[in-house]
Amino acid sequence: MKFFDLSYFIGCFSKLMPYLPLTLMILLIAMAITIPLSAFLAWRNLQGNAAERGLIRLYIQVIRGAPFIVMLFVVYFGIPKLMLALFGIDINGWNKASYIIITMVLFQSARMSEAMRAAYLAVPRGQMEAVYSCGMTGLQGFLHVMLPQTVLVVLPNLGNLVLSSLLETAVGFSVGIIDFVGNARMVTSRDYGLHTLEIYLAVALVYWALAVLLARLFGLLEGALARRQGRTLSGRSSERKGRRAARV
Amino acid sequence: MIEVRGLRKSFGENEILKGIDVHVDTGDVVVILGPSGSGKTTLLRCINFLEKADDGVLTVGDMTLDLKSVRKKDIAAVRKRTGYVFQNYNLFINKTARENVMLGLTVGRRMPKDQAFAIATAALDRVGLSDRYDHYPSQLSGGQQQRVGIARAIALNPEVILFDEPTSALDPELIGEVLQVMKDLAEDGMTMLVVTHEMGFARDVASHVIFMDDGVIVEEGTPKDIFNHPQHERTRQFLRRILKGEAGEFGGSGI
Ligand SMILES: Nc1ncnc2c1ncn2[C@@H]1O[C@H](COP(=O)(O)OP(=O)(O)OP(=O)(O)O)[C@@H](O)[C@H]1O
Ligand SMILES: [Mg+2]
Repeated sequence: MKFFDLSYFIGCFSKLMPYLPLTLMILLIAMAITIPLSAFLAWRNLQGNAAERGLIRLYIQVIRGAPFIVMLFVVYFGIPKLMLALFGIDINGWNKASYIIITMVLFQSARMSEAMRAAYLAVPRGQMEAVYSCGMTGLQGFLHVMLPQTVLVVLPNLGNLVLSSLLETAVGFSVGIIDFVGNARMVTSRDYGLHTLEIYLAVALVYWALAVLLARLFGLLEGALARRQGRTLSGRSSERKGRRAARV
Repeated sequence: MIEVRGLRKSFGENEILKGIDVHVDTGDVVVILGPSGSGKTTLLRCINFLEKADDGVLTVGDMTLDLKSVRKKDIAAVRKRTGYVFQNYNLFINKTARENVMLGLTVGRRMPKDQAFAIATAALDRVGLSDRYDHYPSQLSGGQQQRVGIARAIALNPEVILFDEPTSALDPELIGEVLQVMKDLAEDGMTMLVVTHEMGFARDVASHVIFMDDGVIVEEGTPKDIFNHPQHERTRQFLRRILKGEAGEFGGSGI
């Protein structure tokens, strides 16, 4: 037996690729929910009352302490029981992909909302004071001054979190989802486990290419936004600071 | 015309402003002097509602407000009639010089873009920045940023502009250009309330000088009164210290 069968390696992509769209769809749906949910959580964590803030912080703490795969199992086994007990709804017929989507949303929204909150707080306080002194409302200031600056700050972190979400899709097989990796496992066993290395290298190569693509996408987005705000990416540190007067 | 009466403000247990009365007639320039921590910034911030005063009465033009119980719409009205120039400029980082000046007009007042554009351009011309319309704050010197800050305030056509140490974050060689712009404004009849440590400006431009210490007004009068015949020991001490520093460090600030 050859250590590495190159022609099998090249050929196996055609068996793997048809299942890639499902994985991408999982990522897309999860992010489409996570990003607005995180923004909402960050907002309430910044401006909500003590109860809201306490609840959100507890949520973040709990979620951040749990390994992804453990959370996936808890969601997979827990949610159907919960739905049945609470609402009497039987969701065993649900598409299995929904469990990993739920887990990704829970897992990443805790992290993403913290990144967004930190980015918002990184915008100098004086920006909002200037907004008010120019006769604008809080909402107007948020839309025209705070939001553009916050987005620019959060984008690199957001890119990293979306990237780690992409990688997390790889554990969906463990609850029986036949996605990109799930299918790869089926292919290996169909071929009697003879080409496990080739198949997983191919899988890794595809993930790697997607990761590079995603990073590039976020890089372009950040560059475009930075240009619109008169900042070059390397130039952000070169902003001149006047001699600051002694603080009170 | 702008006036505060009996302004009080505490942060927790600390009473920072202990009943301040200030009156600025239309076209006057009132300068507030005082040591660090005496409450000068807090006073201006209370007038613009960046800080909520505990007590006092504020009059701007024909509008009088009890500061204990102001409504949102009063705050908006006062801010509409007052401009504010910050110590650290606080230009909108994501906007060009001209956009900085336009934003309060187009967004705050829903003015048509072309009209706001013309006003902003004229305001920047007035502060000597005709060659910097499309520069971002990060591409401007401190003195230029502060002049954009002043243009942003005057573009909104306020009845009075509040200046909080507009030159104290600047390198010494940039102070003169900002003071010159303020002097020109004063000569054009702008009503101004100015916190500054620039004694030359106070002496030459102010119609009235107030010396504050520890949350109270210690002494006030014409620049002549304050600089040539200070009545209180605290005023004398303060002036001695500042004037000595100025002679030694800056040798006057180019005005
Ligand atoms: N937000 C705040 N919370 C608590 N204390 C404050 C706050 N803002 C100001 N102070 C206190 O109020 C006092 C007056 O501050 P203020 O900034 O008004 O002084 P200032 O006269 O402007 O001084 P400087 O010349 O250094 O600018 C200081 O002792 C300061 O510590
Ligand atoms: Mg101050």
